[in-house]
Amino acid sequence: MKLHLFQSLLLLCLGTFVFAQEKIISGNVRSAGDGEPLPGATITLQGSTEGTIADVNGDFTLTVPEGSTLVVSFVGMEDHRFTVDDRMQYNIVLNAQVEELDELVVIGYGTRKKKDMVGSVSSVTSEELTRMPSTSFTEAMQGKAAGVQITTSSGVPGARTNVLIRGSSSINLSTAPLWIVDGMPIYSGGGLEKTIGSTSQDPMSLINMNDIESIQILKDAEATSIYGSRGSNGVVLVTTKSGQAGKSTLNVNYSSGILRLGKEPEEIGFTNTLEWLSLVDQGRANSGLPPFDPFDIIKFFRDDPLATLTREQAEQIDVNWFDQILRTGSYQDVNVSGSGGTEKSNYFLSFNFNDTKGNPLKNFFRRYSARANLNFNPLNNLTLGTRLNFSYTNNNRVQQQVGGATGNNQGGASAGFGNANRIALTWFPIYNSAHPSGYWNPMSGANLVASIDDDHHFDEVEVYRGLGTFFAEYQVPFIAGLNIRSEASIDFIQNNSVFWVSETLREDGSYAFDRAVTRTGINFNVYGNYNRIFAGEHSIALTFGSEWFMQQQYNRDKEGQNLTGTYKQFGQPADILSVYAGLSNEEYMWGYIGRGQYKFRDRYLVGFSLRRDADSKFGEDYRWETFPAFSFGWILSEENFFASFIQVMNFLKLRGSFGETGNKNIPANRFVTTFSNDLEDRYGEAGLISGGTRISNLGTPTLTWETTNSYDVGVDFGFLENRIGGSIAFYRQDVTDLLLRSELPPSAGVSGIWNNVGDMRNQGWEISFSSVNINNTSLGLRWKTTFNLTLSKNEVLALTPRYDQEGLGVSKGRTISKTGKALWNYYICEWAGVDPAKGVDMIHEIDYEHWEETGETVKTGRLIPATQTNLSRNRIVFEDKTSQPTFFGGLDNTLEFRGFDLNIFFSFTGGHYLYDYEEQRTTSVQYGQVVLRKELLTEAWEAPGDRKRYPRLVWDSQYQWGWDIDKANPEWDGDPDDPRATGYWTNTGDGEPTGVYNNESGSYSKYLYRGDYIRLRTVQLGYTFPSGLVQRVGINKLRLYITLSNLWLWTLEYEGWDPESGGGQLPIPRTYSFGINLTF
Amino acid sequence: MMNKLFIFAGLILFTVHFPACSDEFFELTNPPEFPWLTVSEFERAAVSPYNYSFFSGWGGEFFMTDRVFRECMTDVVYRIPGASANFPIDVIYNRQTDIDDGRNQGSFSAGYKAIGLINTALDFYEQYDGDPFPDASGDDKVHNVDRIAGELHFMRAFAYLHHCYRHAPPPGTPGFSKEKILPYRVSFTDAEAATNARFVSTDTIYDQIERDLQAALELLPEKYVEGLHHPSYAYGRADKNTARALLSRVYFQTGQWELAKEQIDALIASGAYSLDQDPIEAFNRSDVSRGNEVIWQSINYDEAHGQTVVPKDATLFTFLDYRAINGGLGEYFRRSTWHTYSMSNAVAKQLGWMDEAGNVTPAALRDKRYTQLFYRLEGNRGIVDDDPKVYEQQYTQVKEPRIWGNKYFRGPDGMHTNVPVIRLAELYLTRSIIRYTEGDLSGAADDLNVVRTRAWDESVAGATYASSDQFVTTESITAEMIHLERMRELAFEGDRLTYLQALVLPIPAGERTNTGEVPFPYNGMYWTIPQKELDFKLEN
Repeated sequence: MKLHLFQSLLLLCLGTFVFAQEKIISGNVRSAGDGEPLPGATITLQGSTEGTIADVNGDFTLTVPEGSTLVVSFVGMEDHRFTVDDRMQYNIVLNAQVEELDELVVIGYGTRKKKDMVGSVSSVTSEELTRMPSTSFTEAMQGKAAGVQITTSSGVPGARTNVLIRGSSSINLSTAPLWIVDGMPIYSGGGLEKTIGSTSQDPMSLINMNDIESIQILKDAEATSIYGSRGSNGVVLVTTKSGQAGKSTLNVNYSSGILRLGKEPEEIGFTNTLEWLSLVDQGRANSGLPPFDPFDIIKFFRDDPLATLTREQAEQIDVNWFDQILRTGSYQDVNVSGSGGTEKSNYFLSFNFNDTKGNPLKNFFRRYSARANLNFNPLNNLTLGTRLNFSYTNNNRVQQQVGGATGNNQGGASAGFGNANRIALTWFPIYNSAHPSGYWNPMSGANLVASIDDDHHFDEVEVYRGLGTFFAEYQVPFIAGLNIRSEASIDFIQNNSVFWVSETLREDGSYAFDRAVTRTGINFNVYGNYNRIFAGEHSIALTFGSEWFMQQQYNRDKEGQNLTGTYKQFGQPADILSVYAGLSNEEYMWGYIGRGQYKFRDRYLVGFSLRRDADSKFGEDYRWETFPAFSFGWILSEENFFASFIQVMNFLKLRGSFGETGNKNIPANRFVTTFSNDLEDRYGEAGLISGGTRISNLGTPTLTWETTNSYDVGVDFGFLENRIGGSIAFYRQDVTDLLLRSELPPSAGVSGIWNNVGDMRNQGWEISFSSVNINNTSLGLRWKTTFNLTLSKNEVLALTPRYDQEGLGVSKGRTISKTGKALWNYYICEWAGVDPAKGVDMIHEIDYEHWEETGETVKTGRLIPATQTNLSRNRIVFEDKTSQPTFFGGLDNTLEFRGFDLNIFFSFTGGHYLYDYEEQRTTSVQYGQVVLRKELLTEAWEAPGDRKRYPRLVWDSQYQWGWDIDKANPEWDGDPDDPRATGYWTNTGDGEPTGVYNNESGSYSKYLYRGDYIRLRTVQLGYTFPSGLVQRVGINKLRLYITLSNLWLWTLEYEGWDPESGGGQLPIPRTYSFGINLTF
Repeated sequence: MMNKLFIFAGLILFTVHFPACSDEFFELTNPPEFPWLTVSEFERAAVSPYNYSFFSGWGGEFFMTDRVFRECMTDVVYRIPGASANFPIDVIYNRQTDIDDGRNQGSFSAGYKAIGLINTALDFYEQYDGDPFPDASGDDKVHNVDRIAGELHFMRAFAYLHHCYRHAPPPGTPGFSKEKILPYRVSFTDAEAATNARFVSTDTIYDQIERDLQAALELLPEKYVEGLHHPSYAYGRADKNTARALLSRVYFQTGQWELAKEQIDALIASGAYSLDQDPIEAFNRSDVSRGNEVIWQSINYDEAHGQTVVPKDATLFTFLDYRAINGGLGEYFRRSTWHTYSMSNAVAKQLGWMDEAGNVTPAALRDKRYTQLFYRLEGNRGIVDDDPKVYEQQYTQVKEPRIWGNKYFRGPDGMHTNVPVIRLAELYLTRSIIRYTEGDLSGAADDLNVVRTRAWDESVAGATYASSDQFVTTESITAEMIHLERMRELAFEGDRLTYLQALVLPIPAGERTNTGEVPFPYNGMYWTIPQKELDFKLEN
């Protein structure tokens, strides 16, 4: 690019040119994509260096021979050739290059030509990001880049997104990549604010996606090992926009839209009051009990006065709680940016305001963000610059969490969407004039309207984030090709959260929790880059330097009840429940950087990198580690023997790399045993004793880095002048010394311990294609398709000898990771249908003794009932069913026709399974305390012979048929090796229950579904007005567009709310929006 | 050229070593700190096991959950049909001890958390040969450091005893010294030991309990002395008498009755406790005070602790709602909505508190325990407007009268009512049966009469107890009398099961129709070890 500009300046300096039989022509050069003028575009006579360049408006004037051929060029654009005819005016439109191999790609501590890249790097552009209306740019990255898997945790604005690069390469809880914004490693984790039943806010939502120029995702060791101990999970480099010399622009973007619920409750299918009562009555009758009396539930509520309700009154009530607490959301986003520059300086300034009202009533997210990116050249060889970003968000939250037992004082802590799914029954009234608040049992958590009443509830988080990078880059004058750069960065987050509820929602009186968190991350580096070409065919690039990083967090917590006054704040409460202020999450990291690449004859590339890191998270003897990487590349298309293919395949490169990276995403001080002395753990009055001691961590002195050995081979190709391009890569990551907080037996007195547990392998394929299917400049028609697919597979190679010896695995929820198996296979009982004769759920029995001896789960061949005991003893490792997607990707189509542009983008994920616990909880009458699904009306077992999905409806999950594991089996064939010698049905014959099937905590495959889905992520239709038309009113560019997002979702099996957010989380909304882009 | 190379190398060195790295760089501002740097801080090690034992609201502790489990496995209680709660009420009542229930898991975990912390603190104490704070004053060393060590020993014994109650075959049963059933941890653990618990038989655990209680007896003071002890020690903590009382329970349970009697004798001789107050006085304290007979109580009066720590599992087998105030009766009437277990009518008749027709008896009315600590509701009559303080209105299917335990949440601030853990009456009754078994009928009668005298309501009976025909003599006393008196005294306090086991008596079925009595060796009467623990069990 620099070379190109240099040529342009040179041409400009030459001033005028003289041609034989000259003719003076003039014209204008613009971009086909956005219609913007292309200042600096060169117009040269083919075969010579003679020509001119376009001015700031893209205009040019040139004297040329008639009949000559001119070539119009611009960085990043395809060359355009035309013959000078009898016209005097030429309007040239340049198309963006399909693949620009000379394009510079941002890599760690430098840039590199795309052609010379041997690492695996994916890119996402600003245009791709901003197409998707979202509060967080990470969400908008979904499906855009091969190897990058992104899931959104909830449809609540500002909710966290989880980013995984090349699948899980760790059993560690955190496999989040390293995020670098303009050279600054930033905090992307959660947990800063106090969250009581509400959705936590993603700190990445503080970053305005309109400011982002490009995102590079570094995936293999060649690309990431320069980040050493932080590179195992991949590195995401975010580059924000800069001004350009000679081009001053002002951009105003406004978009607004509505947010509809991603899936309607009717699609889930909940019963109304009469249906619910009929099912519950049926269950009670089957248990020999009289019809349901509403007081059976109301008695659990804690309000004073407790509102009562007769059966007759209940039958008349039918509240749709979803309607009561949800709404059609809305958003508006205003972004104003200006940029420009001179030869000595440039600037980019922006301001953003985003106001999103989520689907939950009262919930909103507001962001104010300002940025200043400035570059100066005070000396010829010196560049100084800064990237300053300040953001503020105000997030008014409502509770989303599902409550526990009915009436368990959940009014302030769990309500909202979670409870609408499970706890809030349709016959619960909303209002009660006898209650001082006017609400019906507001403390219950089941009155969702009371729980979001502003007079009784307030949950707000305010976040201030300042990201600042200052850099100086010095071009060493006496050593050509050498520059020294230093960057000092700070990431500052101030997170203030207040949770407040009145005495109306809480038994123990009004309550407030006030948390203020100050988190600071400081990074400083000094590094040099040396790039030289020797003898015309030996090219070297060296990087060397050092870096340190430190972060810490200061928390101030105040918790109190029986507050004074009416303000929604902590104030001066009568009871101070807890107070804490202190420093935590300290980390200090030091690293030495080294990298080199050698290129011979523009086709053979070899490289190495070396990073040596030390981190305070580990003990002194285990603190330092070295992370090397090696790479090679061969550009076959530069070889002579390739000449015969060059017309069809214009580019072909083979590349490969091997290297080590580390992962240390564990909390600080896990190598030593630590204790807490919290006030809440006291015994005795707070005035007498300041706290009680607890063991908070059992230390592992030998704790050290988790190391990933990465292997990567790939091929990059381009066909037909790069109209078709892409790459295919195979990767393998062998992870050793896995860091994991593994479970301990409860008798250890500590729930878990961090350790270097074992080894695993993660491997897969990445495929990405792009093609320009139609590029008809005369019609102004262009159709481009990009597609990416990632196939991922993993295997645990070893755990600790103890775990392997006993066949134990590392469990997490309903899943387990065992040696020889994939990560997080489901480890639950295998459902075998509903017994047609007895009407109870059945599961497959395993050989329990064999499991105790070996840890292997082998079926005995017998079906046994899904009693509580059997559910805990007969879990099976589902080797083919994991919670980890095995493939994901995206398909993007962009069609441009004259001023119109249409983008249709699909993302997809699959190969994994989801457990629908919501279905499990709402398809059993239990104690009549949960909402029920309509499917029970037709799919519950009623009489012998019935083949139904759900068992007989009974009260309290107590069935006449039980199972005694010690009872002699009368059907036993006498084989002493047959594990079925014992275990048989129990039944007293008088209808008394003998079997407990309470399955709130037991899990079986009945509710396990394939998680595959395809989502129509965005459809955007835009129209750019002709420049000639809008320039009359002083506008350079005017574009209007409409965007529909999450319009359609296809799932293979899962019928819950959303396969991405899962469970009872608010589904990702459908958004209907319009927008306008104005450039002045 | 060489100059440039030197400059180049110099710049590399500059970038790599500016600024220079040193070990100081990695030093944390707040490095992890040992939790007990002073004697005063060591007090926090002492209180933590109490917190684990008594606090955490719904489950999660082990004291109250165990009480409910143990009591509701016996004949004392009756499970109200149709009553429901988010609690394993049928699992308990039906003694389905093979079920790996979450409440038991919580108790198991809480107990071992307490033990883990205690082991850490005792290791610290023993590492320095009992003098971990050499700069402390001599008084502090004796009255606080040693006393804390004593409390730690005491609480480890208490936690292990509950584990034995819950998960192990009782003493004397064939499995007692054979089955390696419980994880045994007496020292702070490293990662290897944490993962690999050593399972031992129950007798080994009981031996440890005895050793711990003997150590506690050595180290604990007779009582709290203001100015000498840490001020928090004044309330709800173990002293020498508490250790004696718990040790007597252990000796009684393990058949070492003479030793049990010795401890009881010493405790009674201390004169620190008396049965000179009405029975309610042990159960109605929501402040720092205690009833005169209360040897140890869990203190819940700390309102600032909120309701998250009060023992709500008690709502399963007691009459009052935990939010009751001023005793929860009369104008403050507030009944538990989770109430699931009443007293068995069969037992009520055994106790003489209900006649065969279901009517209340004169014997009940003159018994202060019945009138103060139990609540009788007549059966539901199908009348909507019936007084719920008199007639059953919560469970309309309950047509017969029922007597409900009413020993919890009785203080002015219900949920913050302290809960007696060991009372003097229990020890009198224990000594009574020991004396009776040893043939000391006079002594047995004396002890029994002490308890019965306190319970006797002279104003109702119209005569003193000593002058009544209920007075027990050497001639009239029987073992059954002592058994029944113990039920009257300790029903709904989790005593019945272990008492019967200590005497090797069968556990009656009560009103259960789906099971019979369970004789020695009480197969199936202890709960399975949580599967999460068994997952780590090594054969040893």
